[in-house]
Amino acid sequence: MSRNISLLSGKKDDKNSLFGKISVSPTEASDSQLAAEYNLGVSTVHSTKSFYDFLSEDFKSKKAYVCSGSACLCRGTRGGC
Amino acid sequence: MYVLEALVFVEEQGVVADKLNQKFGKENVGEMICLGRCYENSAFNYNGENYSGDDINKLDQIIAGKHTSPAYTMKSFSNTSFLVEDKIFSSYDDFKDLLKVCFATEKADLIATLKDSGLRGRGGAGFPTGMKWEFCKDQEVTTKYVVCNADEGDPGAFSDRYLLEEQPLKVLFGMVICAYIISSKQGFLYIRGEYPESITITNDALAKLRELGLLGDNILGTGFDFDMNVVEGQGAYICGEETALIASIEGRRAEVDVRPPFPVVEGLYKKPTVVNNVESLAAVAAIFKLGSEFYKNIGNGRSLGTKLISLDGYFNNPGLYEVDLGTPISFIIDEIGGGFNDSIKAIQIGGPLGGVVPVDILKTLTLDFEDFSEKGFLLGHASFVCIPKSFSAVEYAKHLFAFTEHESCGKCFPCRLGSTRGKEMLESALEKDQKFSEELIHDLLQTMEVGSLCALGGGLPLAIKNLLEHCADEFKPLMEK
Repeated sequence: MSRNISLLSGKKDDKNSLFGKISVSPTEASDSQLAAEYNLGVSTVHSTKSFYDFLSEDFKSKKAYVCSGSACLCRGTRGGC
Repeated sequence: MYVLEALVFVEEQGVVADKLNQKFGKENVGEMICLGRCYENSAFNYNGENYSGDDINKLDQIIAGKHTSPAYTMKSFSNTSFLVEDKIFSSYDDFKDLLKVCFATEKADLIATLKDSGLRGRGGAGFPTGMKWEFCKDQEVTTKYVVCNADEGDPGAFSDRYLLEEQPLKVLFGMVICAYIISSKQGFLYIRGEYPESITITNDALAKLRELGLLGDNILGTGFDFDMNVVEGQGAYICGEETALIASIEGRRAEVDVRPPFPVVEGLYKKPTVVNNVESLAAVAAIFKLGSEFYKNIGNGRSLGTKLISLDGYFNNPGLYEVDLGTPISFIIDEIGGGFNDSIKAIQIGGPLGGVVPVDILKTLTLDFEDFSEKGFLLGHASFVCIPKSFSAVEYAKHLFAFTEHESCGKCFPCRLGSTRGKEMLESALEKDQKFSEELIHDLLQTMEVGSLCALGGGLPLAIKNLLEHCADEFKPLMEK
């Protein structure tokens, strides 16, 4: 299955990856359009979109982000929330 | 004394988060995992830019667009420095001149130079770069790709960020020459979204290269066409694993794939693909500029050349440094880092999956692939994250489990579930005074180690085992037989 997705994704122009397009696709309707354009199921686009932290609506709604890396954790400067 | 330190620590806890919450409201403050500001900590992202250190006290200026973060220390301690060096290769003219020299050389000779230099991949696995390129060159397929893995997710490391922001031409040169050798027309730089400045600077450099005719069609009149684009990561650590990175660019869920086939045979869009780390590509520029002889004369055994290291804010001289491979860690800690500004119990080297080593043991090691793997540790990106005596080792272990739980792609259940259960065990012990079984945690780690496809689930147990061993006195009261 994923092999087919790789091949379908690669059929389009090389420069703008499908991922780049999914990352900026604003609505469910544009997700469906993207899926149709690539001959993929909507579920494929949705499964990708829901995989990434930055693409969740909750994440995007924030104004500032505190670093939660190990070094900031040890320094005690991170959120801890 | 210990109690006092702990108090100081508690007081500092969450200071940045508190101030951001105050300013923007708690519901408007999210988290990002490591912004690569480990040299001064207190890092946060606002309006697509990163800040750290004292910046948190200048929030009003930042919001008004009147403040930029000050520079950090970057210095070379290598005998023949290249990566942290502006004189040898830094201008667009240098780029063009070196490209001309390479275009006038047989591809087979370029590969031979690279192989002779002994360069091994700087991403973690240490695979010989020349061999990787040769394998890909030998594939009789018309479409091939070059991918730069700039998804430097390891908390504590900022060497890729340094190269992309301060030395982008070195990295981009490595990509162009790789494309030329393997006959690729298209490349991608997968840069993590947590490094917004790296993305902007790289895009600017690409635009300039296109303008100068050093990217695009018929480069320097040779008939060689090549262009590359930046792909912005969206906050998934797993994309640093090459098969997940490929899946990500393709628009699939970034799940790890089984190897073989390796990407050089079947990579992006199922075509032969060279995936190289940022630092490896920059080192390639060094080798073609200065020759393989110079490169292989630096280093130790099979670990040749120079390496970037990232020292965090617990060093007296935090920052980004270039050292020869084979440099004693004691020199790095005492001379380069200038010792610590707090009592340090252990250092985690090479990211969250690297070893957690007490300082006295660490000082007996040298910084190279062999010495690290012989002693059971991992060099990774050579990032140094110090754990102070005042910070609980159990808390740190919980953080590593939680990190893995969050970042697991979910493909292998030992990683997906193991990290969750591990976090729960330590959480219950810390918060509910519920002891956990010593045997069970070792079983769990064993299962994760052998049952995970990639280094995330497979590598985490090393760090946890190190903590269990070296900080046994902290774990013992929480464990039962």
